[in-house]
Amino acid sequence: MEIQKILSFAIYVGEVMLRSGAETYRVEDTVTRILSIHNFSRTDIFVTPTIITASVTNKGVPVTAIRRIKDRVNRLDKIELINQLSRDYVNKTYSTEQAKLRLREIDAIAPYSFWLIFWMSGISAGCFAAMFNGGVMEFIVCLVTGCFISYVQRVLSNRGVVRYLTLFIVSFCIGSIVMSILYFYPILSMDAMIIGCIMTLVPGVAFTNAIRDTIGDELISGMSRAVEALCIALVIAVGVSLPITIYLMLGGTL
Amino acid sequence: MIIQFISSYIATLSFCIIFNVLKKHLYLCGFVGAVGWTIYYFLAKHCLLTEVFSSFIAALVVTSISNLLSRRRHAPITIFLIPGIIPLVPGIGLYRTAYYLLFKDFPQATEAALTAFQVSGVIAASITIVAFLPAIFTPAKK
Repeated sequence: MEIQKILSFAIYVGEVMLRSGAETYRVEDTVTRILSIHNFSRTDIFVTPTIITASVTNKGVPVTAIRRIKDRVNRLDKIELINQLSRDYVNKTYSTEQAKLRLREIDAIAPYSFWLIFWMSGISAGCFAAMFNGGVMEFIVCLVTGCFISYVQRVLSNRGVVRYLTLFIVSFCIGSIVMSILYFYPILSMDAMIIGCIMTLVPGVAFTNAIRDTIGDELISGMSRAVEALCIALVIAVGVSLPITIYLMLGGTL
Repeated sequence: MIIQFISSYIATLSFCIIFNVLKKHLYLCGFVGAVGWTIYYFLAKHCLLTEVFSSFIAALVVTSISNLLSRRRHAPITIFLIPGIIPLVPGIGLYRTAYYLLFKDFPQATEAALTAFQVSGVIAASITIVAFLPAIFTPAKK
């Protein structure tokens, strides 16, 4: 009985970490540490971005658990709290039961409120425009567009629209807004405005993590993350380039 | 330069809130990102180094700072690392690659793709280097 309880706790930890967007090696490391204090004769953990498997062998009898992970989001706060929890658990501050309760609490923590994220998306878009040599006008355009797209993203994801379609619609909105402003004020910098707005969407971190995973010998994770990053980049580029094509057909110049 | 520092500070900080970093780390995360971007900008625009080399130096500094901070504040390194490398990672490069491919501008697309690949390669490399530096200089375990 004991072995199953421990295994179900350990795999729950891994599941919450993966759903919060933790790296593959971190999940493997944490789950291995949690299982290692119980002196099982053998433990094997296999983690990819979408699935986690843990198998424990005790006195020749293997026990295995699998969890499928869907919809990953970025929750760095949960990763930090779980890191603390697993350290406490390894130091035997918590029993398995207590740790599981604490884990449920961590899993239920609410993210920052929508309106804060709404304003912050706008501000970050504006500041990225400034970083890529945009002026005051570009800053304002990106500020408004950033807030608008975070609202659109929220509405679409609440209705269960698939992630790639959401990205396509959002980047199409960005392209249309920027190009229609550019049509009337051609002196503004198109590069700064588009880059500022799509900076919150592009998969730079995912691509770098893909290479990190490959360096760390997590070959399957590395490949799947790289393909994911490339597909996201492609979707965004398609969404942005449609309005640009229309703008060129209407006689605008880049 | 000062505008670059301030805007990258605020941009990184807002990104941290979107990524749900705990409140007590927010100002430090912004600082890490701003330092990385300012170093990159200075090297690339004023010292005229290549994009890849500037990213490498900036990422080394970002990784070392995040390593120090994570020890100091007992938090996993990811909390400081992800916000820190956000201004440096080649998300825009990947977007440009796909964009040029759609407009059939193959030479530009190849260039953008290779640069994006190199930049994320050197960032990943610098993270690995900093992670294993202590292991190189400590005596091997028996």
